[in-house]
Amino acid sequence: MELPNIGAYAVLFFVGLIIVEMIAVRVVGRGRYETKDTFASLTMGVGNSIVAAAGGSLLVYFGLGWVYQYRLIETIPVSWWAVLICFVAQDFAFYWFHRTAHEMRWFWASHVIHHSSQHYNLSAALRQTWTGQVTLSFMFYLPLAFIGFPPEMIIFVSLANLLYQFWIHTELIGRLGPLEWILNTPSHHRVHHGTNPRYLDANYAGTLIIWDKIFGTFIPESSDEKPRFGIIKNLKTFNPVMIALHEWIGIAKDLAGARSLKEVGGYLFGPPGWSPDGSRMTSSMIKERWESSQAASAESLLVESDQTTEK
Amino acid sequence: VTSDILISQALAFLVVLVLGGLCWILFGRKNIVLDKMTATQQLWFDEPDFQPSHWLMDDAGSAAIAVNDSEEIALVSTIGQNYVTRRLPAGAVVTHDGAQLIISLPDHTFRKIAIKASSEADAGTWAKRLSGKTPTIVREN
Repeated sequence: MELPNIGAYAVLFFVGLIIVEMIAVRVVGRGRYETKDTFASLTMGVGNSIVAAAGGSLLVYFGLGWVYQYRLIETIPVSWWAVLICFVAQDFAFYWFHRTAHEMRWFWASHVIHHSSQHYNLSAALRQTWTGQVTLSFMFYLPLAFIGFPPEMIIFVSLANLLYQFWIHTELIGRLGPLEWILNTPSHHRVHHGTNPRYLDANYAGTLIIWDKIFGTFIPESSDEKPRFGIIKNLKTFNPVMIALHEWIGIAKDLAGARSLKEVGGYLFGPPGWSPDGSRMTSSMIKERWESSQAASAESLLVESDQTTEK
Repeated sequence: VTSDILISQALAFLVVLVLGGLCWILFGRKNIVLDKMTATQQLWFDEPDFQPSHWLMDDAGSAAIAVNDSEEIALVSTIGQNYVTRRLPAGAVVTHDGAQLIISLPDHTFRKIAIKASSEADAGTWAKRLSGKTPTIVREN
């Protein structure tokens, strides 16, 4: 069995679906596109592919290849069942990479780019990092090579997973019935891109939503609350270079003011929003604040209804 | 191989131009206008602890300054068809040029905000009011 070169068809798939979505959004009026934002997102996507062509992909390939030398299983054949198992294993590794990318600023500095648009459409799906290889995020997939999956197979299923994740970046599609139980869907992924406190730190899945359900990070989209897309501190720029580097610049500024190794560690590897004095908000702090405000309003409603009953 | 890569990247940029052009044809390049109600909603979402009591709204609807009862300052600005909010950070510089109030922030993701006040005197009053309000971050040792 030979693995197909899906990368070659990816661009056609992306362009075709973006055109279809743009026209559908214009006709149906559901979802949004903005010219400057679209230009910025697509330029980020091209920049990402330039970085990959300039050596980023080779780094990943050699990293996987090096670990593969020490594999546990000598020969895993390139067969449909092996590809399927590799896909599920890669999706599991992706879940942990993605979760870490939200919980640790080192990885967030690269991943934040993907969340920096306040729009949620197929062009925003291509708003990808230029610095992913710098963070060495491919480490999350090294165990697959250690098990014995060939690097070509790991790269193939990774591309297939990315391709799957493309089409779920849309507001056009509502809920998909029983598919929502197993698969990551537009609805689940809208929650992931939402900055509403109730939606923070949720739905990290790539293709299979089961990982979020197993590890307690699943939150369904509520019909009462539409996700508000973007990041906690949205950017006042469409400049692709600033979009690509803004969090790294933030880290550099923080490190320049750090007064101890503990602070250096916190700024680099703490959660995004971490500060030594707690003067900034991390997503869990925002969520806690929201939860206590919800609890307080529920309590006051209860007191009010008790008083009404007494009357 | 290098020329193949260059050609494919050039084609990719061409695709960006085509898709961006299509987006412009379908959706235009309109910028959103900020009114007080929207600015209040944005603040309520981004800074729920901040209850604005006074506003300075830009005449052109591109930005707003909010002040609460504790004389803390928050800024709301448009960016294309969306909004961005910030608390006035330490180290912000407030100046005015005629009726134009200009706030430069030490924030590389939100560098500047310009708001046209109703008059030069009004802008001067606001500049004076805001100049003393750039908070100092207190850090615990």
